[in-house]
Amino acid sequence: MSSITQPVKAARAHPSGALFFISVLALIALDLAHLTVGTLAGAAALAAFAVAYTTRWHTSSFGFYGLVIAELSAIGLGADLATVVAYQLLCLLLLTSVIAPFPRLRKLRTYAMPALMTAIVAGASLAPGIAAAYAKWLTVAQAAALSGVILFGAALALARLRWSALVHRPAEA
Amino acid sequence: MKTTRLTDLLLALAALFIALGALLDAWFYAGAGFALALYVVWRFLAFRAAIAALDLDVQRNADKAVVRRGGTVTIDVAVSSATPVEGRFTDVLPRGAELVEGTNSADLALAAGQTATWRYTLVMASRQSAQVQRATLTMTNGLFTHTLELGAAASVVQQAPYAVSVEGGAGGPGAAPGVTSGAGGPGGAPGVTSVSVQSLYRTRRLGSGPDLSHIRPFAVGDPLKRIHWKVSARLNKLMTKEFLAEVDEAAGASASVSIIIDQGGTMARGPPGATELDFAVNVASYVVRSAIARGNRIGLITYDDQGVATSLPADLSLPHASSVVRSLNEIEPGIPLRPPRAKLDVTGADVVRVKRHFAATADDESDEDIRHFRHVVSYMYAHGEGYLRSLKRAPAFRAIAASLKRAQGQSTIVIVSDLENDFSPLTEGVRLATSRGARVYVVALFSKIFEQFAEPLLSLEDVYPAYDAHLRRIRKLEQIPHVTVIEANTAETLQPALQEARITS
Repeated sequence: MSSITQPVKAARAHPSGALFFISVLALIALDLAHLTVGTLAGAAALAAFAVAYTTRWHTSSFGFYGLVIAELSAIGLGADLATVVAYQLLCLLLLTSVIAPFPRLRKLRTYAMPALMTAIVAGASLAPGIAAAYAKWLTVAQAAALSGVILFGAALALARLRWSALVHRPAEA
Repeated sequence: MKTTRLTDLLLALAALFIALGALLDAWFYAGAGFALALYVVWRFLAFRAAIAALDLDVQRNADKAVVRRGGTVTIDVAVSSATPVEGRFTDVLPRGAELVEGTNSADLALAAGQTATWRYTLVMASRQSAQVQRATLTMTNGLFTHTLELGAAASVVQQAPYAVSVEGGAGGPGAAPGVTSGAGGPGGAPGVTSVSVQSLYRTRRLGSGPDLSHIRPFAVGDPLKRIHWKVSARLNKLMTKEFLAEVDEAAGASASVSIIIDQGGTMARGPPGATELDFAVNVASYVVRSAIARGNRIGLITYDDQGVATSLPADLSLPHASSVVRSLNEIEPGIPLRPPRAKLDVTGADVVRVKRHFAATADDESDEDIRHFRHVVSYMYAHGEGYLRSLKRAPAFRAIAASLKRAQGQSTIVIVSDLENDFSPLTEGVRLATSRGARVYVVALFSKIFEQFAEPLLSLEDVYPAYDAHLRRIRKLEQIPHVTVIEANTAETLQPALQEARITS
């Protein structure tokens, strides 16, 4: 212990830059694939954001605007289901690249349970919406909104919950 | 676990999209809101799993165990993890410590099995043990932040909160096995004394009292009402609470032991780490250990040249014992300056007042001898009054009187002093204590010899008269009935002497 003099290593750089560019380029490509004036404007705005983010305002708060720009793109007006799912996945990748990296792949075992629980929560919130849509009680959009409301409530509850049991941990080994 | 501003923005955006989707009948936006909310849920659950999987190992090494006031201590910190971890690790500095070099906080980015090390230096505002026992680790995943408190066991007792340590510090024989202490270690200085208060409490008889002793794994037959449900839920296995015996149940619980320590300026004599005051703390640690083991009430009173510095009345509870030990760890010698005290504390007004008292009964003032006799008697009377007044103001006497006032049942008083500060009031206090039935042990320390090293002009011949005077004081105390004087100046002789006097068990 007496020879401990080495400095603390800096945090390891994460490949968030690559993730950012891949997601932005893919989103622009999707916009251009469904070319309209609106999607063209959305793609241009997204490209401008990417330039500004990488060159000047490289902060997570500014990165959040990229998500807003992407989500408000006109592609939503006429996209099919596959496009929408792909688009949303890319949006979440973009969000991840600007706020925090994904958990490391080697920790997949640790995250297996959270992923399973997330899937259960998603299924539970989707079920009422799908049921309402099949029964023709609601339109597809209203059914999706119903599922979103349920999931939003769950997310809000989790975010507001205080996990006091995790405040203390047993003594260090 | 707290949310960041970004999380709130994301949730707001999700709500906006869901509303847009429902109002405009645009399922793309409803789906976007759904996806964002789902993302927040997933990141929350994943973050929680990452916290639960943490397995940190923190090792600290301090270059000294006890630091004097204004002294510095350098602490090496090594943090390793069995799982990858990222976050800001911060050592919580002890009270009164200030950072003078390095940092107590570091951004960790550890892979599994990797170790981060750094070093920092503290300066202490008071004499205290150089132990850093607590730390925090703040983790974030961009959407949530969480601060873990490390090192302080929530309920399962693994290490005593405080330890009496003279030199060498915790990590001596009293430290819990398997726990790396903040300072010291097996290579502590000779005379290491380390008293784990909680472990001592565990040696007391268990019973059905109100004080929680410790928590242990559940065994078949344990009553259900003793299960600690919160800890059981946290550790995922049943844990049972053990309580200490009731005060009346414990053998000898009615007795009280008061420790009186002289912390006057002269008690600072001696080499660093082995001053008279260090020995006094050493003695006190033995007495505390003995008292706890027997279930006695413990009190602590310290005094210096100015007055009574610490006064903790005798009590039996664990928090009180921890307070006693904490006070012992924080004890410091007083400033060795005191105003010269007049040998005769009699004012002219005292003599005049007493003479007036006698004059009221005067019947023949013509007799010169009688007038002279009255003058002498009134002077002696006034002297006696003044003596009593100064006696009651003397710190040593006040300390003993305070311990007597608060003592309950059979009382034992252990006085640790070099007998140089207020010896006369100390003697009177000891007489008072024995007259009230208390057993008094006086541990007399003498280390004037060390002044020779600090002052080259002082020769051994100068020490002999001082030692003779010290012995005379001891003989004077020994003449008082029910008083045991222990002359102990080294750690090797201290414990046998105490055991011989049967202070310790």
